[in-house]
Amino acid sequence: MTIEATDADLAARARSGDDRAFGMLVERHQTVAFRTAYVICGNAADAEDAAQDGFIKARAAMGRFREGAPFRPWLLTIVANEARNRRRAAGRRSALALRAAAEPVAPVPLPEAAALAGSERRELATALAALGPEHREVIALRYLLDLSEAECAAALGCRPGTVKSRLSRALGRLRLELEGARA
Amino acid sequence: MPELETQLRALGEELAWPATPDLAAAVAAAPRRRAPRLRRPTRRALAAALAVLLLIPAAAVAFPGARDDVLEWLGLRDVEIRRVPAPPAGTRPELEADLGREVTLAQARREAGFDPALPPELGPPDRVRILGQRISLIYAPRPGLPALEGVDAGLILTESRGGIPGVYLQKLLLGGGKVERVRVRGRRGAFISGEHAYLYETPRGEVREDHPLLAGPTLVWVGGGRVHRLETTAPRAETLRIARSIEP
Repeated sequence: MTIEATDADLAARARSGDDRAFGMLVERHQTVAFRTAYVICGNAADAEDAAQDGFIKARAAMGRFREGAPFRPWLLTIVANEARNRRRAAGRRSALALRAAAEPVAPVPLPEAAALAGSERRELATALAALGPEHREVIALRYLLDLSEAECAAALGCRPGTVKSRLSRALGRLRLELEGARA
Repeated sequence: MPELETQLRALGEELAWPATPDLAAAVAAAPRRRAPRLRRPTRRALAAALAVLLLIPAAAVAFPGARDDVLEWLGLRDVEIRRVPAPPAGTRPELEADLGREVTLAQARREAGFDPALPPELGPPDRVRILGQRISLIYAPRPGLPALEGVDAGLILTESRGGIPGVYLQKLLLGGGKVERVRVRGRRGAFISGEHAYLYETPRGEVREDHPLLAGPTLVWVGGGRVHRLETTAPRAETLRIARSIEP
């Protein structure tokens, strides 16, 4: 029987310079890191860059990682920060393009919402996409990605209590959107 | 669990997320970065200078000896350099807003906690912006100070306090630039022209990106415990003359 190394084991080895251990952490968490970045950036190219740079910076910062702390929230903090930087940059580019071409800027899409089967799911995805970024992000991280509240807080750069209150407001807003769509 | 939350979780399982790229391979292939060890205040201030600006010449990259020479001059030999084919997202220099909020000079003094030095011949700036403890004095184009690309400014003087505790630097290089050593009131500095690259900073050991800055020909130097960054398309000699007129 093979016993899989825990995150804590791998992080401890990575802290001492074991690149193979860090590589295993990357493999283990790259999907959630990439999708978290995708939720924030809204496009796969920026999400990939953000996640990749996040991992590289995390590796460089392993010496500051507190032993025994959970690795995933720490990683998501870094990746989400990278993603927000790219989103801000994209916003600036969009603002420029808007002035130049006088065209509306498309809202950040949900992943392949059009590919969903079922009108209810599509309706839900459409309502979610219509929310403001703050509400959409917290719902996407908490429910679509199934992150814990602590992980959401890490990714959003806020306290867990703020995640709770923001989620509550976001769900209320989502219900209103759904009611409006069904009215 | 309430129905809406259940539906959302189900939605998450059904979504066709973009395929996760092979980040493990990309990360493994990336060179390790490390923060430079900054022992002396001067080095810290110079590190901050590069954090405020960043440009290193492609020519210097092509000839490592020249690059090392420039880094040695700036006290940053242990900073890693990474060449990129184009500016990363967010490093487009067009927006003045990247320099921070527009404030009055008095507000900038209060918020930053220091009095920025003004070029005597230019007097008070037309606009002032602040980002953290970094003050940017913006002078409108005028005879002798042609407009910088993308902004309504002929000269931008950015000042920040040197001595950022713990700095993590990364330089991103583009092609076709030039860096020269210069002296400003006896202090070491660098005059950078041509294509641009940018630097990320993380004070206090945090890993994050700094906002990009505008990018014209740029003079950077340290004096009076501050980092100065002067950006203008005025001729090099004129730029140096203006810089040297500034009382530290």
